Amino acid sequence: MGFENEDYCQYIDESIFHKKLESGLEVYVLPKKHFAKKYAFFGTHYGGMNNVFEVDGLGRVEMPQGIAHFLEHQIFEDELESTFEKFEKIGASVNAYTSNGSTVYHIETVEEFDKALKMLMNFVLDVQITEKSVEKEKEVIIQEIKMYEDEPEWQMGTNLMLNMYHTHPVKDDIAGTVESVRSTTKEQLLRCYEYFYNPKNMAMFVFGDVEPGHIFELIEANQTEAFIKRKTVPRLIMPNEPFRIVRPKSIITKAIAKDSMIVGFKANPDIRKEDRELKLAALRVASDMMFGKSSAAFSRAYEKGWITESYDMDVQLGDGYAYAVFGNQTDHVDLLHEEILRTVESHLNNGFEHEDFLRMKRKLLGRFVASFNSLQSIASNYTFKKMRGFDLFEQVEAFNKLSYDDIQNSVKNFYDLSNSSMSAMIKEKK
Amino acid sequence: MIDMTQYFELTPGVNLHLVKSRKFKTVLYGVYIKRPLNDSEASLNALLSRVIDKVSSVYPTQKEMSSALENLYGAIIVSDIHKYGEKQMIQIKMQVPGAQYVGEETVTAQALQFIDQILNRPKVVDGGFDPEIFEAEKLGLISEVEMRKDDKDGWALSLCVENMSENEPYRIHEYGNVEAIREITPVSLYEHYQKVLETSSIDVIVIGDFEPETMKSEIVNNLHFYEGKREPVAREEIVYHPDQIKRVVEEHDIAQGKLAMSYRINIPYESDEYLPAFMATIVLGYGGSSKLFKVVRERDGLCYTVFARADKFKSVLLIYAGVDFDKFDKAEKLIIEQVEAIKSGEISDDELAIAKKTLISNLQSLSDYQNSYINYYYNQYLTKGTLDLEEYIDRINRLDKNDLVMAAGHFELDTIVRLKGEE
Repeated sequence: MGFENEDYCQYIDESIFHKKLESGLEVYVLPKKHFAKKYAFFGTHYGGMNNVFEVDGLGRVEMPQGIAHFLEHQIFEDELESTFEKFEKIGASVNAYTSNGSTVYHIETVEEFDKALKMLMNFVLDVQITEKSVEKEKEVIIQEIKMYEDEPEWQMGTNLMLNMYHTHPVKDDIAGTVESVRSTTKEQLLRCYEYFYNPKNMAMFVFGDVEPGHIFELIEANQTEAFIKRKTVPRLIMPNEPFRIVRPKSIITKAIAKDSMIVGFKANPDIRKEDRELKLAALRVASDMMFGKSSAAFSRAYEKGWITESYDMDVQLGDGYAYAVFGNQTDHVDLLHEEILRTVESHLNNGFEHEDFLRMKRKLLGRFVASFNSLQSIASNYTFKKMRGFDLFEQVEAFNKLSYDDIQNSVKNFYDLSNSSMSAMIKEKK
Repeated sequence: MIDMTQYFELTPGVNLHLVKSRKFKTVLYGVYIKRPLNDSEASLNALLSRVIDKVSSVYPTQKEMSSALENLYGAIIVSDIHKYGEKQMIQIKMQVPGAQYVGEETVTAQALQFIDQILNRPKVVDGGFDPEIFEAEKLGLISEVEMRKDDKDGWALSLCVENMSENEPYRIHEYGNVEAIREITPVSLYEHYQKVLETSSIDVIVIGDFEPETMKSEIVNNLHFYEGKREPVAREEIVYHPDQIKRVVEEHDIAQGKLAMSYRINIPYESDEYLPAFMATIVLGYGGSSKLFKVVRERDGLCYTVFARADKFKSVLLIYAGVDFDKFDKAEKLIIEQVEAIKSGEISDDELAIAKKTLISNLQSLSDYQNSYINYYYNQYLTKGTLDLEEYIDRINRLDKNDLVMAAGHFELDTIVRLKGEE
């Protein structure tokens, strides 16, 4: 009956129970007392990047951009009754998101959790797609795309990805384009559903005041025949991405009040192959030491009047891609660009202060404690990381194990100053 | 699951609220400084909220300040400005891990001393705030005000509020305005700050897993407030009967039209009719089973985003939808029809039951979130609402359809804003 194990994290005094069901479905349960709400997340490893794949007997298949996200919208469709309404009737709420590598459906409720969990499995595993619902939903998704188009920062972020990546689909919008959405058909949606909504490709996560054994049984019993019987999962095809960036710079002009910029450092994605938790932890701490509020770089730029807010920072390690991003609002885009490059360069050459490292470790310990305050943030964080191939508990361990040398080495292996790009947004001259 | 709440007066006009809940691993301190919302001080308060938490006389540079917070187990201080109806609130919050999780007993005292330094020992240069921090934050605030226009849906809603209440303080944005911000000097801001410290009503709220008696004495020992006369802030005027609907159209560089509409609810929160009015706004536009979502998005596919939300302090209902430019008329008509449907009694049993369940479930889980609960607690305290969950749920469950219909009968459409593309 599958295998079951418990993983305990001493630093935060929490346990997670894991079981792989016979169908292949992975189930994770984190029991937590004293919280009123309970959460379930049902996810498939299928997202905005997964449009080219190989199917047994059929060979290479290519689908329109944005189809995973379109499917997410379609799964909510029900001829008889709105899915939202069904959940709200029992006091629960339901939502979903599509990321570049996954689609996740989630519910939360104070009461009637078992019923809500069954309903979650039921609506995800029983899809109804009609020509009419596909046509209507196209209009809603197009409004969603247009909404993002009206957010200038979103455009700047999209441009940075296009500056860094030639072929890797991490550069594409998860929702696709107005044209790709218009071109999507009911048959394509159904085929992708059959391919990727497969127990071997999916995972269920439950958080709250629950009993793990009971949850495992409930999930086991509520899988449908058709679901259990789904065969192999198509093999995703990732194109060969050259290491070098596409272009060093892109600028858009908009009717905005303040200029803004982000700098991306494209790195070798092989870094993900070994010790990825440790490396990710090291890179995150290094970002904070380079550009956080106690950094020399922050003080310098603030004192010169180039920035007034904290830097935005991000490090991503995914399937075939790896990059770090730093950015801020500024009316001195070029000066800040040089400053960011100089800061990274000086840390590449001179390393980090040992005292800064010790202070960061104290900070991280406190932040981990704080992050376990909110069950909602544990739940969404744990799920989101797991769906990307990372583990929150292992990351806590990694942060605790982190040594000064790990930071120095990770930074040296990750950053290549000649492989960065800037995306900026400049206000229109009147 | 709140274990206990206690309330004390520290000095007239300054109150301490202790909210004990064992499930949190951090302690959250909130200092709420209440000011009237008006033209003469809105910009001052906004700038003040940005300046006071950056440095202090003990940590005179941002690097020292941030390093000290990092050493205090990554404690977080956030100072910002909020609008509660026609009140402007300077909120200073500090989150620190519980002493039991970091093995250091003095974290409580250290945290309180930090807050006290920010409040009472700012870095002063020549009778004003540190000019370097002041100038940077002044520029930052000016940008923030100017950038309001870049957030198009927020801008549509703001325009709606401004035009609706052109003769009421409610029109004022909590960030103030660029002209008034430019006038402020380090000295004028510092002088204003002295007035704020001496005359404002202040509430200190602490939520977390602590021993109340110990916490109370730590606060009395470490946090200091002037003793003197503090001014209460006046209650908002809320009843308005618009003669005609105001319409505002602006052109922007956008791909999608933004539609914002405001209604006067015309029932004050002190009235028993407020709760059914609020429930009616949930039926109208909160969540996936609301009328707006079901009709404007699900049935007619006109939009991705559509919602309604109520401001309790000012009794105003705001509605938002992002639609194609050629669908403005249709969307506006559909939204008005949904409000009229509620007024004429078209609320199904399911819709009523869902609205009740949604609100009850939100209330039951509020105490799962430390920051949400502290704000909810303060809101309930300000509006003299109950903290007794059972009693509140009971009141919700006793409402029938007719209560909602009667309450919604007071809603009056006031202003409609459209942001359209450039010609």
